[in-house]
This record gives sequence, structure tokens and C-alpha cells, in this order.
Amino acid sequence: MSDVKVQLVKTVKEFPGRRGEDAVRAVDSINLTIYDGEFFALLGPSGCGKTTTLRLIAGFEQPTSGDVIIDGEQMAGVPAFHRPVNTVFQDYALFPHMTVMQNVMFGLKMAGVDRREAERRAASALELVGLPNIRKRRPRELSGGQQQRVALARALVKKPSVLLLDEPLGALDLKLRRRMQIELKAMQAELGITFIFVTHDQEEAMTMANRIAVMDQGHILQIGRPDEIYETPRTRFVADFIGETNFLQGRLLHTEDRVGVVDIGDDVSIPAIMPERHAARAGDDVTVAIRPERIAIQGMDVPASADDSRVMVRGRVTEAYYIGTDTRYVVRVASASLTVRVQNTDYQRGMGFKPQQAVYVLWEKHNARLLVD
Amino acid sequence: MADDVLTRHVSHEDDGRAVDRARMRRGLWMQRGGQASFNALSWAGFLFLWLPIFILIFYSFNDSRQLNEFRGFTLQWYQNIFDNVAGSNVQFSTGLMMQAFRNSLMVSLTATIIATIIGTMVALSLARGRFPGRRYIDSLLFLPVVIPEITQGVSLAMFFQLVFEFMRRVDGVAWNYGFTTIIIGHVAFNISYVAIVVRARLANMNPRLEEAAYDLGANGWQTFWRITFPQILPGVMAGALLAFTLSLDDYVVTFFNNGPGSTTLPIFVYGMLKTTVTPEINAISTLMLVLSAVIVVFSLVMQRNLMGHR
Ligand SMILES: Nc1ncnc2c1ncn2[C@@H]1O[C@H](COP(=O)(O)OP(=O)(O)OP(=O)(O)O)[C@@H](O)[C@H]1O
Ligand SMILES: [Mg+2]
Repeated sequence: MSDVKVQLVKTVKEFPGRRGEDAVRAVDSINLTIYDGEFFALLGPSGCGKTTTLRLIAGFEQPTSGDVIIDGEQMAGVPAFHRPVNTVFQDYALFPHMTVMQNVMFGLKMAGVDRREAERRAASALELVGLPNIRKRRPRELSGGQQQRVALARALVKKPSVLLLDEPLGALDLKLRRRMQIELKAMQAELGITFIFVTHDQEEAMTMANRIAVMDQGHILQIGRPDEIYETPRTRFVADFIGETNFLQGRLLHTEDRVGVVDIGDDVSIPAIMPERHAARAGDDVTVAIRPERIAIQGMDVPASADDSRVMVRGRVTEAYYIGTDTRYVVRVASASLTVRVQNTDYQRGMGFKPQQAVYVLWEKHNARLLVD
Repeated sequence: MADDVLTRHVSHEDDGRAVDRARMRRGLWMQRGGQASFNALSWAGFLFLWLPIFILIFYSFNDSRQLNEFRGFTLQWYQNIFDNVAGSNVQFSTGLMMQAFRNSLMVSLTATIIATIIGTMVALSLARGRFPGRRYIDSLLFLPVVIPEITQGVSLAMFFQLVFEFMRRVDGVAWNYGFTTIIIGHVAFNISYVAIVVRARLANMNPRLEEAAYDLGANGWQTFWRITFPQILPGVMAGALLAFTLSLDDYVVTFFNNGPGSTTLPIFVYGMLKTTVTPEINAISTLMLVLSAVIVVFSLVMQRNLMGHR
């Protein structure tokens, strides 16, 4: 792959606890490698340490231990104003006493760019973000979306090697948000700047990022492409946080070639793919995850067709909901309830199954995955 | 049976509505009554504040030495104070008054400038600094605001006495009270006021702004002058204004720490007052009021211009 841009090595950030409280480990021994030109998303629930991670890279916080490396250089002791990164803040942090143009020109002025050149570059940055005509206005005279774009222009005009974005779309309404997601993505591809993007919205992360790091409680649980994270979540948290998932509790009977056979009760056992370095042994209690849209449902009148790659088990429909694009069934299998999503197409419509109906549920073997708790 | 239930139900609902309406009406009444009494109260407060001042201004234009009669408009008293006359006060001279006024301006301006600089720095270090005991210093800041002025005046006078004694023994120089001691006294109590006002402004400032400036390549110095200072400037101005007015009309601290030739206007006016309140005193007071008002308006206008459309 291409060059390494940003690297965190066993980075820890601890905030001292107040008045007898324990210290908070906002970032707990993180390892992270981000490559040149990537659109990288840090995804996780509120309070998991996303902002702190970004602030460590930007230089607003110093790590308690561990390293931050940018462009191969150790950043310890390098102040924020000497780092080749720029930030788009969650609340934009536009300077209220300056006009839009002065805001965008600020970074250039600090770099000693001469006035005419600075004006030219600032104007073209404003053009890039689609705001050529509001140079004289002050931040508070702008809408949220416009402020967001000015903040983006102000950071981009510095031609940073890495752009850090802390939930930059958080304050926008859904429609504008969707549009900005696409625009940002296009802009990033065009400029080739490395973006590190913080969000707690899994859909946003999936839409925009080349790779995603899922965080929880200061730890990175999994790093991968959106499809990897979605298809092969390593932990229960990741599977649950991204998309909808069925969890089946069971007992591991035996393993063979990274496939475990799990007894889920009532004499039903299913195979499940084991992630790498999975430590479970025969006899352990384990969790298996299957995405609802990867499960098919079939009437008992159709002949059973289980084979090596397909798993097929009997069940009973307990609930059925029509929700427009999909029909959602809840099927009782052994002691578990499986949610099944069937897309309503011209070919499947009218094949509705009724509650209490006995059915087969089936899936391709690779869809059932053993999780690390 | 069913009918019964239904009617009961309906009548219940009716009751409910009636009660609601009554409650609403009462609420409205209370609101209106509350509004009215609130207005009355604020007017009363306003009068209480301003009536004595209006009376003072009124009598400064009254063509009579007596307070119990009104004999029409005159500028006599204003003319008197610029013509070496102040009723029965034989010691009055325009020259002395103008000298006291100049002294006052000099003391207030100097004390304000010094107190504003130190006070702003104190506020900054309390808001941004990380040093042990910060919290205690923070609460100590309010001390000069709450301790009686007379305590401050006396303690300062004592302190200077000790310093003078020490200097006399060490150096043989005889220092004395004067402008320096007055200014130090004024600075001492003004620092707190300035620091408190600036600190409030700093607390309201978005800390991300400074980070954004660092992020865009500004160092600490540039960030302070281009971001922090413009943001706290209204607070600095307000603090300076407060310090100036407090200093301009300070009597107690000045009284305990002044020396020969360092009479300020409040001390001067009080000296005149010892005999009797003359219309000339009213005139001087009115002039001082006008001066203060001009300063306040000027600073408000300046603040607004400085801050653009904030
Ligand atoms: N300056 C600080 N002092 C003390 N604790 C802090 C500080 N900054 C963050 N924390 C704590 O560190 C943890 C992580 O905070 P952080 O702001 O990184 O979360 P986040 O993932 O960005 O959350 P959100 O999505 O809500 O913005 C939280 O528990 C927070 O309370
Ligand atoms: Mg955050």
C-alpha cells in the first residue's frame, strides 16, 4: 500500500480524576496506521474517545504515553501550530470578530503568505466549497451549512497533509448532511488529502470512509474497510453497533478448519466461522451473529436443499411486518428468535408467510460468525 | 346505565374544563398583576436611584441660595465656581478646584491603566494557567470587593507607614504620602474589579477559538493578540471603565493615603461640604456627572464600533 501518513503507537491519554474519582483513560493504548490519501473514519458511541484521539493527532493534547507519528516524524513536543494537520471543529470555531474572508485568510497570514496571494488562495478555497459570494459576512450571519463550509475552506486553504474532521456534519439537518457527505467525499478524492473523520453515525462512516476504526471505551475494537467491518465483525459490540444483527447464544461443540459447530439448543447445531485468533474451545459458551438480510425463508412444501455451503434449519414464524421495501419476519428457531429481512421485489411479493407457519430458514454458511465478547 | 356513565363522564369533563378555565384566568391575572407590580417596582427603584440626582441638578440651576424656594433658572453657580466664588467658603478658589480636578484625572487614568493591565493578566492566568493554588487565588480575587473600603484605606496607610519607616532607616530618605500612594491604593482595589469582569468574559469565550488559531499556525503570542484579545476586549473596556469611575470618585482610600498637594476632587468637594451645601457644590457635582456620562457613552460607542456587529 501507499505511504504511512499518521501512526499512533500504544498511545494512551489519561485525564486526572476530579476529587477522588478515578482517572479517565479516554484513549487506552491505541495502535493505528493511516495511509496517504485515505478517507479514514473513527466511529464509536459518545464518550468513546474519538475527539481525544483527534486532539492527540492535532496536538491539542499530549499523550500520557505512547507515540504520535505524522509523516514519519515523532510529534512529541511539536506544538499544534507546527504540525502539518488542520482541523475542522465540531462547532466550527470560526473567529466571530472576523469576516468570512479574514477567517479563511488567517492561516495564510500566519504562514507569512503575502496579502495578494493570500486573497487569491482564500477566494479559490471559498469557491471550492461553493461559497464564492459571502466573503464580507461575519460567521454569525451564516447558516449552519455555510459555517461548516467556511470552516472547511479555512482548513483546506492551508493545504494540510492531513485534515482532521470532528463530526463536521453533526449540526446539519439530514438532507444537507447527505449532500455534504457526498461533496466531502468527492472533494477528498479530488484533493488527495488524507481525511481523518470522526463520527458516531455508522451510516455516515460507511458511506464516506475507505477504512473505519470502531472504538469503544478508549479502545479500538476493529479496523477495516466498511464491508469488512459489516460482513466480518470481530466482537459483539462491533456487530451490534454497525447495522442490525441476530445474536444466537450456544455452546461450542467442536471446531474444525476455523469453523465451529455450535449447539443452539433443541438438538439444533449450526456451523459458524471463527475469526482469527479466536480463543474459544469446545464446551465454551459462545455467541453467533447473522445479519437479518442474509437469511432466507422458505415454505415447508419446497424440498429441503441443505448442502455443504448452505445451512437450513426448521423454525416457526412468530411475527411478520410489511415495511415497504422489506418484509420483516421473526422466526423462532430452537430457543432463539431470528429476525429475517426479505426484500419485496416483483418476484417475491405475495409469498408472505403467516405467523405460526412452520418454515425453513436458510443461509450461506459464511454468514454465521462466532464473536469475541 | 351506559347513559349514566356517559353523562357523568361528560359532566366530569365539563367540570375539568371549567376548572381549567378558572385556573387559566387566575394565571392570566397573576401574570398581569405580576407584570404591573413588577413595572411599578422597577419604576420605584429607578426613582429611588435618580430622584436625588435630579434634585441636585435642578438646584444647581436654581436662582436662590435657599433650598426651600425656587426662583427661576440661573447659571450663576456655574459662573461662580469659575470666578473664585463659592458662597461663604473663603478658602475656595477656582485654581484649587481645577488643580484637584486635574489631580483626580491624573490619578484615575494612571490607576486605571495599571489596574487594567495587571487585572487582565491576572484574569488570563487564572482562566488559562495550571498552577497549584489557582482555585484559592481565584476566590481571593473577590476579597477587595467585599472587605470594607475603610479597612483597605487604613491597611494601605499602615503598610505605607511601615515602608516609609523602613526606607528612612535603611536609606535615610523621608518618603511621604502623595500621588504614588494614592495611585497604588487605587490600583490595589481596581485590579479585582477588572480581573472579575475580564474573567467573566473569558469564561464565556469558546476555548476552541484559540485552538483553531494554533491549528492554523498561529503561535501563542499571535493567538493572544489576534483572537483572545479581540474576544475579551469588551470585558477589558468594561473593566477599565468600572475602574476609572471607581477611582474618579473614590474618597475613603484616597483620604487615608493622600499627602500634601495631592488633593483629588472628591477630597476637595468634601472639604467644601464641611461648612454647608452650597449651590456651587451642586454645580460641581453636576459637571462631574456630565463628565462621567460622557465617558460612559463614549466607551459604549467605542465598544460597539470595535466589536462590529457582535
Ligand atoms: N479535558 C478532559 N478532562 C477530563 N476528562 C475528559 C476530558 N476530555 C475528555 N474527557 C473524557 O474522556 C472520554 C472521551 O471523551 P471524548 O471527548 O474523546 O469522547 P468522544 O468519543 O469524542 O464523544 P462524543 O461523541 O460525545 O463527542 C470521556 O469519558 C470524557 O468524559
Ligand atoms: Mg467528540
